[in-house]
Amino acid sequence: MIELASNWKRTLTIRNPILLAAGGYTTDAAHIGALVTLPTTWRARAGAPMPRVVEIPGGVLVRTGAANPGLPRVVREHRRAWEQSPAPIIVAFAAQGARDWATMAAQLESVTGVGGIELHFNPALDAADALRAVRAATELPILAKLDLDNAYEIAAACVAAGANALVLGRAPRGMKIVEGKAWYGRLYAPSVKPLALRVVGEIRDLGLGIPLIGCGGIHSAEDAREFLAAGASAVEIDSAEWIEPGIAERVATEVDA
Amino acid sequence: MKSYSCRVVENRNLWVDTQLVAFDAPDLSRALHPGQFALARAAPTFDPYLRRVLWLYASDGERVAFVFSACDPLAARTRVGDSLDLLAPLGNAINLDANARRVLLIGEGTRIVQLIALAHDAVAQAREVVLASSPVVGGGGHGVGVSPSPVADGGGYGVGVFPTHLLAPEIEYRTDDALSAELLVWADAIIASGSAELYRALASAIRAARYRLESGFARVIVDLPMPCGTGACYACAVETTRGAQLACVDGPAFDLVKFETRSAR
Ligand code: FES
Repeated sequence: MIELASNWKRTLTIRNPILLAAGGYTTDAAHIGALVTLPTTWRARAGAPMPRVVEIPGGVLVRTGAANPGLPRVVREHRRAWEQSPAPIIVAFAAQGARDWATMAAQLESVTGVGGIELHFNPALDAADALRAVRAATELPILAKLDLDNAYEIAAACVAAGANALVLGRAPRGMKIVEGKAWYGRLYAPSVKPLALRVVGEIRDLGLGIPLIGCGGIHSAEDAREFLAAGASAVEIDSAEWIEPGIAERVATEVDA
Repeated sequence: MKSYSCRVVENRNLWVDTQLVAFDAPDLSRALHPGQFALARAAPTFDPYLRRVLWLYASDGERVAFVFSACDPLAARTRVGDSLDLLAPLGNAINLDANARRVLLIGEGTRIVQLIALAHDAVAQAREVVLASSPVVGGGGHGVGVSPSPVADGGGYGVGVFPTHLLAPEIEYRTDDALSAELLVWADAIIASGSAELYRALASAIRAARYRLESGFARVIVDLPMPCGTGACYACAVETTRGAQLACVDGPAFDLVKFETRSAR
C-alpha cells in the first residue's frame, strides 16, 4: 500500500503505484492504483478550435482547450460508477477553470469514490494562492500537477500551501508551424520521459517530505520502474493508454509481480 | 471494442489519395457495419505515434477492407503479409430508417469513399441510392483521416470521377449538382461526408428545397484525428445542440440539425 497524502488528515491510499491518467471518467481496470480523470472545469467547455491534434515524428502535440462536459454533469453521470470503482477516483481540475476550483472541490467533498483532486497548474497561475483557496474549501487530498518548465521553482511553495503530493508533471508545451502559423500544444511522446525523470530526481533532492508522482512518456513497466527508482512513489500513464488501451492495467500487473 | 491482429492481404491505392487496405478477418468483418471505423497501429513502434483511423469500405463476412489517406506513412510502410493491430469496431453504425426508400449519399472530394459501404448496404436492402460527388468546398485539414483532396482534375471538380466499376450497378453515381433541389426533394434520407463548409451549404440547400430541415433527415460524418477512439482524450469533442459530443463515441455521424458546423473545422 502506498500513501499519497501522508502529511494530511484524510488519507489517499493506493494499492499499486500505477495511476491511469489518459482522460475519461471511469475505468474497470482492477489493478491500477487510481484513476485520474480528464481535466475538468466547473462549466462545460467546447474546447479549442480544430486542429487539436498535430502529429510529429514519434509523438503528438495536443491542444484540447480543456474540452469537457463540466463538473456538475460529470458527477451526475458518473457518481454511480465512482461509488463502485475498484480504484479511487482523483478528479483533475483544468488550469483553464482555476477561479472555480474552490467551488469544485467543495462539490466533490462528499462524493463517494472520490479519493482526491489533482490541480493542473501552468506558469501563468499563482500556484500557492490557488492551493490555499482549494485547501480551505476541502479536506480531500490535493495533488498538484506542475509544468515541467517551472516545477523546480515552485515545488516548495506548493507544499507550504497545502499540496499533499506533487505530480511531475504536465506534458511539456511545444510548437509546430502549421500552415505558416505557430501552433502550440502539449507534447505526448516516449521522448518526454527523460525530461520528467530529471525533474523528479531534482525535486526528490529537495527533500520536501511529500510523495512525488512521475508522469511523462511512460509506455512500459520498465519506464514506470525508472520513475520509481528516481524517487517517485507512483506514476501516471497518459497517452500510452490512447494508443494501447489497457496498457496501464498491464503495467500495474507487471510492476506488482 | 476489441483488439485484433490481422494480416494484410491487400494494400493499394484505390483512387486519388485514398489507400485501400484489406484483411482476411471473418470476426472483424462481421463485427463492423457501415459508418464504423477501426484504429490501426503497426505494432510495436511509436512512429507514427497515433493509431490511424481506417474507415470501413467493404465487408462480406470474411474479408474486410478499409480506406485511409494514401499520404499517411502507414500506406507506404505496410506490405502484404504484414500484421496490423486493429481496435474495432469503433463509432456507431449508420442505420437507415426502415421507411427511407430513397437514400442520397453526398461525398465531398475523396470523402465519398466513406460512403461506399453504406451505399452497397442500402442497395442490398432494396433501397434506391444516389451517390453524389460534391466538389471540394472546405479547407480539409482533418488530419490523419481521409481528407478532402486538393488534387485538381482540370474540370474544377476537385478529384475527378470515382471509378464507377467499383460501384454496384444499382447505385446511381452523380457528378452534377449534389445539392440540387431535385435531389434533396427526391431523398427520404441523406448522409453526407465532407467539410464544415459543405454541411453549412447542405443545411441551407435543404431548407431552401424542402422549407425545413427536419431532425433525422440528414446526417453528417465528422472525420477528425482520433487519438484514443474510446472517449478518453476528448480531442474529438464537437459542439452539438445537445452539448459537447464525441465523434468517436457518439458519432461519427451526427444529425445535421443537432450539429453546429463550427465544431467540425
Ligand atoms: S478520440 Fe479520444 S475522445 Fe474521441
